[in-house]
Amino acid sequence: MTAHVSAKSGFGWDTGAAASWSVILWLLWIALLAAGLYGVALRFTYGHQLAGYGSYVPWGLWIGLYFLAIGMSGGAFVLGAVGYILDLPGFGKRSELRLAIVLSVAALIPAFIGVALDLGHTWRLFSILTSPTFTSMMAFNAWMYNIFLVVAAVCWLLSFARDSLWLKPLLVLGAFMSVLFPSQSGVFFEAVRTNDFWHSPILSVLFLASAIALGGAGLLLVRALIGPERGGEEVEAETARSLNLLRIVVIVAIVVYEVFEFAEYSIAFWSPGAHSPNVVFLLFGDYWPVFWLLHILLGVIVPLVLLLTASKGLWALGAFLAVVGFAAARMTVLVPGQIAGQIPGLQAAFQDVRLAYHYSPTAMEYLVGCFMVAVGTALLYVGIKLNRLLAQRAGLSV
Amino acid sequence: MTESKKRMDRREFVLAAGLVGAGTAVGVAAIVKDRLKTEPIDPTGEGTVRNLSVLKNIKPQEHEDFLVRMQRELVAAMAKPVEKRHWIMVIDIRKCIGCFACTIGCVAENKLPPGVVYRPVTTQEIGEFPNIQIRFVPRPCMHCNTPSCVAVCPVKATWKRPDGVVVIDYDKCIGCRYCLNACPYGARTSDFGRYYSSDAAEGARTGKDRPVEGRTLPWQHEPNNEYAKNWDRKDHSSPVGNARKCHFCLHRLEVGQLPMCVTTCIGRATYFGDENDPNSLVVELKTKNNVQTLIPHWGNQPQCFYIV
Amino acid sequence: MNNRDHDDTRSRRNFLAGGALLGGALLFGRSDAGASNKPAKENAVMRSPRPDAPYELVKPENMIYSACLQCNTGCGISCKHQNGIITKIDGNPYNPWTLLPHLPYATHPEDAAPVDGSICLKGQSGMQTAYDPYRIRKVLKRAGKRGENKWVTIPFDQAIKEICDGGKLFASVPGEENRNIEGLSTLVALRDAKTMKAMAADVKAILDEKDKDKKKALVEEFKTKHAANLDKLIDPNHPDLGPRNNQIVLSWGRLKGGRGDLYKRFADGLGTVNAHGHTTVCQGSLYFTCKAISEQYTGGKFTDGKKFYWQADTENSRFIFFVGANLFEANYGPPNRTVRLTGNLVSGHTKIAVADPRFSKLASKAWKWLPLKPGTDAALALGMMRWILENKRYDAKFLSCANKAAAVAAGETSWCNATWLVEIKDGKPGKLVRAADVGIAQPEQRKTKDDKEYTEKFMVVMVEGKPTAVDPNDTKTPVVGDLFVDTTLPNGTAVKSALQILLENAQAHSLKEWADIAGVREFDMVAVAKELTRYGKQAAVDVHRGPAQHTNGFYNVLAWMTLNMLLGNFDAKGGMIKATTWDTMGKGKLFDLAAHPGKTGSFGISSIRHGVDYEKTTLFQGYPAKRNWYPLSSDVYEEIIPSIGDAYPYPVKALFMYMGAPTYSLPAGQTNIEILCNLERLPLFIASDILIGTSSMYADYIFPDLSYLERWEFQGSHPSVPNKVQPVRQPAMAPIPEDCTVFGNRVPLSFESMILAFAEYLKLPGFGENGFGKDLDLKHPDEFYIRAVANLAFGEKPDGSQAVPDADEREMRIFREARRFLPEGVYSEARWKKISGEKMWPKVVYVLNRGGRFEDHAKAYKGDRVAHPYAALLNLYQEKTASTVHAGTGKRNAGITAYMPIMDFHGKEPVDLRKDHALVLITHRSIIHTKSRTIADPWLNPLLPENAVLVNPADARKLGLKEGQSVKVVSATNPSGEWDLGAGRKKPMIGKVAFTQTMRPGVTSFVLGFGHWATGAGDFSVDGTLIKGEKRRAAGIHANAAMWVDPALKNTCMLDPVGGSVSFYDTHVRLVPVV
Ligand SMILES: Nc1nc2c(c(=O)[nH]1)N[C@H]1C(S)=C(S)[C@@H](COP(=O)(O)OP(=O)(O)OC[C@H]3O[C@@H](n4cnc5c(=O)[nH]c(N)nc54)[C@H](O)[C@@H]3O)O[C@H]1N2
Ligand SMILES: Nc1nc2c(c(=O)[nH]1)N[C@H]1C(S)=C(S)[C@@H](COP(=O)(O)OP(=O)(O)OC[C@H]3O[C@@H](n4cnc5c(=O)[nH]c(N)nc54)[C@H](O)[C@@H]3O)O[C@H]1N2
Ligand code: SF4
Ligand code: SF4
Ligand code: SF4
Ligand code: SF4
Ligand code: SF4
Ligand SMILES: [Mo]
Repeated sequence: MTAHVSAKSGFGWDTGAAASWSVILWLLWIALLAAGLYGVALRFTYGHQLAGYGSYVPWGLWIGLYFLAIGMSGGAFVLGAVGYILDLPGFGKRSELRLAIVLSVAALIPAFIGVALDLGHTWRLFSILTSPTFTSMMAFNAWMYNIFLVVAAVCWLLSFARDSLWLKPLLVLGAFMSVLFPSQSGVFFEAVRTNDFWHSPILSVLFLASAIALGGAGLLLVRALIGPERGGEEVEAETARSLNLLRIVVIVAIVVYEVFEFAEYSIAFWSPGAHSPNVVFLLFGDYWPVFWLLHILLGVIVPLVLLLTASKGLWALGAFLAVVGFAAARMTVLVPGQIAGQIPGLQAAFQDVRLAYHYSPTAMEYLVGCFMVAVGTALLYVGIKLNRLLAQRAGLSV
Repeated sequence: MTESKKRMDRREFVLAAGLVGAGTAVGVAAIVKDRLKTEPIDPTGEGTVRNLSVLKNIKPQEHEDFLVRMQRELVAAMAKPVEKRHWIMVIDIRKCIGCFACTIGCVAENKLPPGVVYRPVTTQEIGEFPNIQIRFVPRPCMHCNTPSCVAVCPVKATWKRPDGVVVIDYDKCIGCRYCLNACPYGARTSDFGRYYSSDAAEGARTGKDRPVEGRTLPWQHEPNNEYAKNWDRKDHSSPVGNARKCHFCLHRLEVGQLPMCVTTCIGRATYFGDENDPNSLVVELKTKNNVQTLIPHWGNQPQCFYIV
Repeated sequence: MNNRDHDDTRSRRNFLAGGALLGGALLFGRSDAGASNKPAKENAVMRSPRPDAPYELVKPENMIYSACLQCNTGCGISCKHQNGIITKIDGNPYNPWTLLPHLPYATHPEDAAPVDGSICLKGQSGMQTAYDPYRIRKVLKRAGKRGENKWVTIPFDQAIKEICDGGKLFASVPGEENRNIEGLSTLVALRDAKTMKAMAADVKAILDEKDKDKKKALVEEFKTKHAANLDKLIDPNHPDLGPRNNQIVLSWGRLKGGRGDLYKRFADGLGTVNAHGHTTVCQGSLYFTCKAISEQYTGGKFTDGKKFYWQADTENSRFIFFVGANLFEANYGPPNRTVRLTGNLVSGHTKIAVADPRFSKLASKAWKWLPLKPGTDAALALGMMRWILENKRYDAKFLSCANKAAAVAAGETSWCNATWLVEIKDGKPGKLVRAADVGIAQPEQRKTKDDKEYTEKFMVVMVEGKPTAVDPNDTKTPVVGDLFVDTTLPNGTAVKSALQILLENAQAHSLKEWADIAGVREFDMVAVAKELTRYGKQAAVDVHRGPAQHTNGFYNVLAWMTLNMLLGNFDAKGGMIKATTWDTMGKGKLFDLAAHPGKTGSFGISSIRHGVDYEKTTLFQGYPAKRNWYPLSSDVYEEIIPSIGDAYPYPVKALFMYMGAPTYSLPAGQTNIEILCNLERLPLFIASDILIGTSSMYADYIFPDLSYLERWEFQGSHPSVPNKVQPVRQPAMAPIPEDCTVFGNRVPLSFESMILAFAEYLKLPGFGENGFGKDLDLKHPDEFYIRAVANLAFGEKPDGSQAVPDADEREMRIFREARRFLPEGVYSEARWKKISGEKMWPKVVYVLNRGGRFEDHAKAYKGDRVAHPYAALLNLYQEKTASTVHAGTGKRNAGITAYMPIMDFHGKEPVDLRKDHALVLITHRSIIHTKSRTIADPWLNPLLPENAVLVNPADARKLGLKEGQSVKVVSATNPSGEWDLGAGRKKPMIGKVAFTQTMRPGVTSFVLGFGHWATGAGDFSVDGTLIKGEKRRAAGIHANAAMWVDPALKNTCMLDPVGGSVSFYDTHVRLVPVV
């Protein structure tokens, strides 16, 4: 789905090609939405009966996507806000800030949807807000997101104002939060002290690094899709610089992520024992394709290679693959942490599909995943449209 | 066009610092507040005293069945206010024969749907022919003194009662399954709203004149009495969608009955009682034997003790 | 009060609302039994907006005590209701199976209500069997080929009429247009009691005649004498086959008291001798060996042997050697035996050892496990006996008591014939020496119990080297005999004492050799023998199916029982004990339910040729006989249908089958399917079942039955229960099948209504008006059952001094309330009261409110003895057995235990069958399932969704098998490894391999209860509607079809020619990987 196609995109695509891309993207989106709606219908008709998660692996794809989206949301905001405040190339304009905010919110809302649908009692979602315990990272996070959402919305509105004393301070607060909550996603797992695999402080670093990478990749992708605001040599150069910056951010974040990931898992082999069953499951067991093929190959190596080329088109592809790869990376944290039961023989003691240390997402879960993506992209689209509309109304440059 | 002022000025900086500082303060305060021990929401005191006549008319026999002895002790414990009792379970692995009577007793008592189980019994084969051994370990909820499941619940739907029982309020629980992941014993399972035998006798005619019974199994549609309330699961209502776990059969304790898995333990391997009663069988067993808890290093302080 | 239409929930609720009102109106005397049934809001267990709800299941008015039948242990149960539905089953605390000690019988039901006993997981899942969606509600008539599983429903009365009248009943089934079926009316050919009696007497004379020619002459004589009635015989040239009535065969699988009595009455009414049960598929040789051991020397011969067995007094033994007994998973049964053991094991009071090729759960608690080779029990026992005899570790005092007087003097209740002298001819033991025959005593003319004259010749024992006559039953003159005697009597007769013969048999091999045969270490064998003999009479060998179900089963069991005799532990607290039950038939007391006025009587050789010597019959044609004969056993399950297949001894015209699944449960059960499908050999096949089962699916008509939660029965007891008991199974839920009318009464379709309707239509004596005698009708099942309960309540003293107390008013109310959802046809207080009589009614209620009659725990023992002893002669040497001949080989059967190899009917070892089949196939139970009843229960599924082919990893390595891989089980008699289900359908015997160190290498096993093809596992159609089977019920493997078909008999499994047992653990198989 492309928003506005300018005469000549920053990637050098000509208008005609962009137009036909637009049709394809629209069709894709409609298909995604249709599939997603079907999935949601299934979810509401059959409850959780068609899902693949159970009681020994209680969280599945949606929670993975949730943490992915949270990361992208935080990453996009922090990059946008910091870039704006520091007036970095491609970030200094209000419109660029707004774009980052819109992406951040567009990523956050589907995350809520994923969680809501994952709940056994979806309509009780709000009781997290009405009767929380902040000892629970889940409640804490939920409050964070909501406050962040308000902050982001206010920032967004203020960005249309001619001048505002509050914009930057609020951006700082938002940036602060958006650094915190992806890290807290890590804490969300770390806080489970009875789970060796998760109970490791490195997770917050990993989640933060991935958030930055995701934010960068997200912005890069969005930019690639909508192109620069208007042609012209200078704009093009600016675009190129900003893309380059994002590219570097993504590369660095991915590398940081990998360094920490290596640290995390290699420890397991230097001190075999405690959490090695999960790591073995992840690296050599059932989960090896997800880890090695999806996460490492498709999500790290290929994107790094693509991002290191000179072709901006390939960067976009690299960014896209990095996002997909981090989706896989989320699952490599989520699922292995749930698979190795502490009680030997538990799985055989009472056999049921929901009482197995095994998880692969079902069609219904993927369909709902499509819904999340469709909603996110729609929000992004609407947001970008609104950005332009309101900016025009306010007499600002679009 | 106010793209002029690129860098933050002092005022903005102070404001920003203030916002961040205030935000942090509120967050910390919220956490600290909830970390502090709160008053139990459960009823306590005189209102929780139960004067039950159970077994009062039955004279003790010589070498009374442990079941009856424990039931007598239970009746005595119920005559104290709830905060004066501390329920514990003792499982004698030497006597457990891996018969699953407790597993199914619990399933039946609580009308657990497929995929929900409170007390599985694991079987482990050790050694090589002919020097082998089989070990059976029943695994109820440990009713931990520092339950890792409770802290993670975002909505206070699960807590530890004054009598030591870790409970879930199904009406509060949102079904996030965080607690499932937080329990190191796998003691919590989620009710996904399934029913047993949905595909039996497909095609059978219905109606008064039907030749083959063919109807849905009626025993699973009556309400259960967990926490002494009615739960019929109709129309996806609670406990469908909730986390579920062993609750030491609170509803049976209320009427002077032992937990189901204790009552139906064929090997008489499962004991239950009030740790605050020094003369109780559980205390006797716990002190006289070499008892262990499961995975003690998690620091959950399980209140289910194994004699090995 | 018709509450049977469950579909209409509305009407049910309305009804129940009424019931609740009724309940509310009744004030219970002490309603504080569960004081907090209605906790006030502030008393709430958990504070929340959801109101508290009372716990219905603790209230006495929501419970009915009954007896489980998910397995045959028959534990006492408490069926608990919510809104008229049984939602929970717990243990009945009055019943000794579930609580130790159980509650005193005098306990008020209100006080008992909150006390639950413990029962196993199957028992707790029982309502799932009762509410099984596959339950049938109407009579089904076959509408396709046998086994095709196509049915139409027909009205009950029409079914009765068709079966009685016969004709072209299946004209609409292709191929059967012209098949004419003889109905029961004509099959019940001989109805005249006088003729029957006369013929029976004449046939007895024919049988007793030893001379061949004279026998022939007697037959001719018979033919002339009964010329007018010869058409009523099966074969006038063989009058010993009996009347054509015998061509009706009644068979059953699981049958308990009450129903058993009615079925027998039905057989008596029909005038057939053929009423055969399933004992031999179960543990036949355990029963029939003990029967042979218990034969009493009365009236000058050995008779009155009881079909029963002994088990260890689990609660008091100090040491028990469990042999092929699967206590914690099966047996009789986990709830009552385990509780008696685990506490003692932990306290160190009791020690156990286990002999089993498999490391069972029981073995996991044992001091020692002897993983013996299947089929070698007698070798192990003889090895142990050799050590015990040579080291003088036996109970010499007990063994030397030669008669009752000696036993009494020694403080014993029972005595054995270890010292009795046996005549040795050609080096072989034969008859017991009679004192009068060898000139040691004078014969005496005496009278039998029923006043017949006979000559008593007395037995002989050596008393300090002097031959002495002994009267076994004498209570005055104790005779203490010498134990080991090998001599020649003054008259030249070579004799040995029974114990001497045993010693010689034990010395046939060295200890090492015996241990090697059994595949155990000599050290272990001796260690167990040593330990076993350390505890005096408080030690026992407890055996079950493991040793019994072999071709050598009789002698295996005998070996272990003989070992118990060496321990002298019979009737001792902690020794071998037997079951004791309260009578329900009331003869000479209250209602004589055995009375059968106008009974036709019956005679003739049974269709399974039991209780008669082949040699005596007119069918005798030398050896081998066409099929085996069973002078010592009965209820030979594996013969019922295969004999029909061979039409030997005669063709059968109609077969009734109640609650049995021989096709599934028998080894090589597929052989029965072929015969059941054969319309010529079996023209009419009628089954009583609660659903379409693995055998009833081959029937022509299936009559719906009431499940065990809907019906009456008297469960009886098991040998490990020391107390005198009689658990009552009573209707505890509204019936699933629809109603019918018999003798003008509306009753649910059931086994009883089927029998009553046939009796009514055929006008059989012993049913209907004055069925039990004057003014005692049998027109309603209640007229039998309520009277039987009244008998139970009345007790066994004719003066009624043993009667139970009256139920008080509170009890009466509980009783009524608890039955509020039972329809009129099942329960009506007025009717029940009328039948029992005003006076007995409160006593009947007293018994029913407690689920039966149970002696208080403390009364089981008197000092160090059981209160209900066997107190009779034990035959260590069995003259009666030694006088019988193996019909397959013509050889005389041994009268004492010996080790025999596995053999086919012709006495050949199955060497050829073993070739290329490396693994011995055995089978065992898991606590999770019974054969074909529990697969209906979904709760059990998660515990074991499917069984597996269990192999030791060492074998798997050799065979190149992988864990979890699918294999087909193949044997020499089933090389294709499949079940031929008839009607063109096959089911391969494929299971998944599971590795386990619990299997002895070289042995493979599978758990019973899986691999079904009916019982809800297969598709079928009724009235043209296809009803699908449930997949999970077909899961797993049932490898019985791989078990050897006897190469000599060809249409049944290998069997124990003496004890009748089927062979379950002798087959060798190959596991063929399936790709
Ligand atoms: N769960 C359950 N319980 C039941 C039943 C049921 O179906 N399921 N059925 C009831 C009935 S009808 C019966 S008869 C009883 C049966 O009760 P048991 O006889 O106690 O039970 P099985 O499992 O048949 O036990 C046979 C044992 O013999 C072993 N065995 C096999 N071959 C040999 C051998 O050659 N020698 C020796 N010494 N052992 C051998 C087997 O490994 C197995 O452990 O159980 C009753 N209880
Ligand atoms: N592989 C293997 N096979 C075995 C054994 C083993 O250990 N291993 N054990 C053997 C033993 S010990 C036994 S006792 C036999 C038992 O053999 P059976 O007595 O033949 O088997 P059951 O399972 O009792 O058969 C009951 C059948 O009756 C029907 N039925 C169930 N409930 C009712 C009812 O309430 N009323 C009526 N009318 N019918 C009903 C069902 O169709 C069911 O198939 O199995 C034997 N088979
Ligand atoms: S065992 Fe698990 S569920 Fe139970 S209290 Fe402890 S942590 Fe919580
Ligand atoms: S599933 Fe329910 S009890 Fe568990 S953490 Fe979530 S809300 Fe709390
Ligand atoms: S105490 Fe009750 S809830 Fe807990 S395992 Fe036992 S039966 Fe189940
Ligand atoms: S009921 Fe008792 S003996 Fe049986 S598995 Fe449970 S704890 Fe063990
Ligand atoms: S052992 Fe048998 S009779 Fe007893 S409860 Fe279990 S299934 Fe029922
Ligand atoms: Mo049996």
